[in-house]
Amino acid sequence: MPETISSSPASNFIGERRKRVEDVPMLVGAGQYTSDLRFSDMAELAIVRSPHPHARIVRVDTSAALKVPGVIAAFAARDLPEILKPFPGAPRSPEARFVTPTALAAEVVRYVGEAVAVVVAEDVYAARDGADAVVVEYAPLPPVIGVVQDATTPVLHAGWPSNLAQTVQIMTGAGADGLDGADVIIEETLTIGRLSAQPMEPRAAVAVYDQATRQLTVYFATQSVNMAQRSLCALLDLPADRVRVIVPNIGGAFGVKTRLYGEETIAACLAMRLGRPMRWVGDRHEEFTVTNQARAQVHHIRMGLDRAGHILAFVDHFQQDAGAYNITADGPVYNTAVSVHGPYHIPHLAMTGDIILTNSTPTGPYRGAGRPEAAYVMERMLDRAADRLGLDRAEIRQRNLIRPDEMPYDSGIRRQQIPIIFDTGDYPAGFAQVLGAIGYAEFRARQAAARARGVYLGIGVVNSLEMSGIGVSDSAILRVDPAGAVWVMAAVSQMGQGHPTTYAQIAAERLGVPFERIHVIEGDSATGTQGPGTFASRATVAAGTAIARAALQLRQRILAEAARQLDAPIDALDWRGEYITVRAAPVRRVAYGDVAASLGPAGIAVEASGDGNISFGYQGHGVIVAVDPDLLTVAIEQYVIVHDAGNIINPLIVDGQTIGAAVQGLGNVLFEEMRYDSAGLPQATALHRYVLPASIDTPEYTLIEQHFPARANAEGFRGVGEGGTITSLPAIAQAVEDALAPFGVRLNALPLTPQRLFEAVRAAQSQRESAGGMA
Amino acid sequence: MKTHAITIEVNGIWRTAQVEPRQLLADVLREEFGLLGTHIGCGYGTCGACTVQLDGEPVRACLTFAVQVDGHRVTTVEGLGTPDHLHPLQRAFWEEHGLQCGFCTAGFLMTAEHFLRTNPHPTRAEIRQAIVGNLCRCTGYQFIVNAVERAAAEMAALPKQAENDIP
Ligand code: FES
Ligand code: FES
Repeated sequence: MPETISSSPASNFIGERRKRVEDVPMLVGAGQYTSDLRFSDMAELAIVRSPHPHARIVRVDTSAALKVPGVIAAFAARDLPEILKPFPGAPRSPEARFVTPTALAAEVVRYVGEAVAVVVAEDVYAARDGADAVVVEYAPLPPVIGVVQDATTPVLHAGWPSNLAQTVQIMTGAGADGLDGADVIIEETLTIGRLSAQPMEPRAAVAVYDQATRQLTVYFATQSVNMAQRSLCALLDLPADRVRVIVPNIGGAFGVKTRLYGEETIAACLAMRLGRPMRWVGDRHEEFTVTNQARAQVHHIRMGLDRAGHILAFVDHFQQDAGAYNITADGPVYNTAVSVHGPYHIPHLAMTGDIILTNSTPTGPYRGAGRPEAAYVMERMLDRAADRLGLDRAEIRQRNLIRPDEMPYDSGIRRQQIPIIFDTGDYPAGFAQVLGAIGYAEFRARQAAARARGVYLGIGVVNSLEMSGIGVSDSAILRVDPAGAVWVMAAVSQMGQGHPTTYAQIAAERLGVPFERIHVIEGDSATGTQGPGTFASRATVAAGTAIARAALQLRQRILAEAARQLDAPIDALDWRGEYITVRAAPVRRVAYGDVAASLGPAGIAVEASGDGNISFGYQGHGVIVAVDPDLLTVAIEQYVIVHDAGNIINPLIVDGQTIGAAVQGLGNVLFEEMRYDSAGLPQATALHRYVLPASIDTPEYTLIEQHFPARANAEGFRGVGEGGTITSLPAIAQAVEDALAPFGVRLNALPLTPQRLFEAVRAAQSQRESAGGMA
Repeated sequence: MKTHAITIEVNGIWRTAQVEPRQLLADVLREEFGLLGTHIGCGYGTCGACTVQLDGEPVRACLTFAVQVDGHRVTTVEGLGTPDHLHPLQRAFWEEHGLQCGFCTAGFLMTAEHFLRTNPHPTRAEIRQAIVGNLCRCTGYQFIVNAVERAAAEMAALPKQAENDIP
């Protein structure tokens, strides 16, 4: 257990509802996103992409493109041998099969949107004209669609016996044998559709190569600046000191900007080859076909319970449609397997997740990254169990929740050897708050009254845990300069979650230097700080605790210098605001600014590591929906979120993250689906076909906080960026099913589009009719 | 391709450019005039990120050809306020945490500025209706609604301006 941080200065920046320091440039239109960067003599890129889900490339002819006015050059894969290495990466399990693509496909394309050629031009219009003029001849191959495959299914990658890349297994207790002792076993198949994250900023990249210094600088929105820099070095065969990655403002990321994509590599390679800065700005269609997709899981579950509704065993064999390459290895599937447990007692657990490749866009982490699926299957199975046993849906949850007196509670699950232990919290109290705030006790009367008026209300009440802090621990560097400004450096990126403000709050709190003098630098591989990046609700925990620890050490160094100047021991000093004083004789004092100035021309810097340990924050949702019985559209009437964000740094930002995450979950449940037709063609490649929640689709959320500081890190922080998404899926699904209970529907597949609801209502009707006929 | 000389009043300054007929207003604002606050989220009219005002009315700069606005008045987010003199809407978005990544923000501001001129005392439901054509993937809208509501209250408290337009 890490030490508890004490000896803090008397300030209260941590916990302060403070507006963000980084907002003004964005408000006046000076936000500096990647596509806003300009370098003299910069050329523009456009990519030629496969219209086929699976085809052999017979011929690429760029000659016509070269005749387009403004076009400078055009390249197919064979013309750029220097970037034909597969993307770096490694599976965590030695028996996994693992395949990543090359930046341009040379022989076979395996999804619609895969890059085949690139055109360089003076402006983007000419580049796109040039891309249109490139002739690619394809020999189509039969596409592989969906995870139901057999011995006749074509195999996508040479040398593989099938398209099964890997099977992830997690077991506790007696695993599937735990079903033997059950009074009832509920079987169900639950499906979570394929999603696309759709940040508002399409991906983009700018690469600049300085011929004189032989330095390559690549600007793009990556959540993992150090990993991106290492990958670029590996792909381009360059030593680390010649490649720098700088992250401009990020217009939303949500997980899909964690991996390196091909366009950054292509831009970098061409900047070196042609000696001009290169810019590629993707469009929305590319955001739909090229950027990682997510979820796409089918679960076959058996849950065993005793007659009182206590869970005995949860056995789940699930498949994920990973897309054409398993580029992010087993990340989301592994997350699902270890997260299904949730806040409940599960004596016996057996999770088996198959990662299966198909001819579709590769999948990877997207907000929740396997955890929304996990929460969905656990909570929906509790609904099924409650219905079967004649128990109230809230009651069955109360009977299974882990109690505070059992904490820290060892789930028995090991995540890469690390035990999953639920550290602190009061889940039953949180759930009671959900029930109270949503009006659960009064709801059935309200529902009956509404139904009498032809209004179909339904309620959903669910629980989940948000796992945060995964990954190794990060380092942070704090430097005080002679002018007294403090520079905070960390190896993370921010895409709207407010690091420049929250990290400065942490540093101000632990250091004692005024907030205004603190500046945060992140998203730059040249900071020299270590850490894998911003994902999995880890940045505040991993980098934030490193900043806090470095700040405490820097404080000691500054106080030591003050002690020398005042000729007094350190522990006799007080430091408040601008002055450091001798406590017993306050007239003996020295200004902080003078101490900083005396630290030498470079000031001083300290580096410290943070705590990368996992903690789990409770989140409960209560939602009431109204379903239009004719149109089968869903309106959210009321929404309550109870969550434990540990020690909160900035409540305003935490609220924003929680609501934003919940609305993504809402879209995931009600609207969003990346559909592929039977020929393997994506069917939702525009915003009017892939519907995102708009202002009139979303409710006014009521947020209620619990405050259980995490024990896994010295600051008690928890991540908060994903819980809202994770928990929304089962909550809204439960509520919609409840609203349509008079029709006898069971909703097993997400999203719950009006069409799906219509089919469910019709299926329930015909089932009833045939049952009636038989009677 | 044949080009045309156009003259546009952008944020109070007359500017000229030589453009192809197919060049979008969004591209000309960004690439010719260097006004990078107008963002392109979709390029086909669905997301609202590129919203600017044409003669005081909101339009999608990605669905407008630059040649169409020859001789007209265009206002972008850069014309709304400056770091030292934020427009009440910009201030309210800041106070209420109405932006996270900020990519959608200019579009919301330009839509909301026009809306508050037509409806200075809106209800929350009216605000939600007014911004329905602007997508935000980060905030979940609640704090954007808070911001517009706050700006409306602050603007109502200000002395009436002679012009019914952005200062
Ligand atoms: S960019 Fe114009 S509406 Fe999306
Ligand atoms: S703040 Fe990111 S899209 Fe609106």
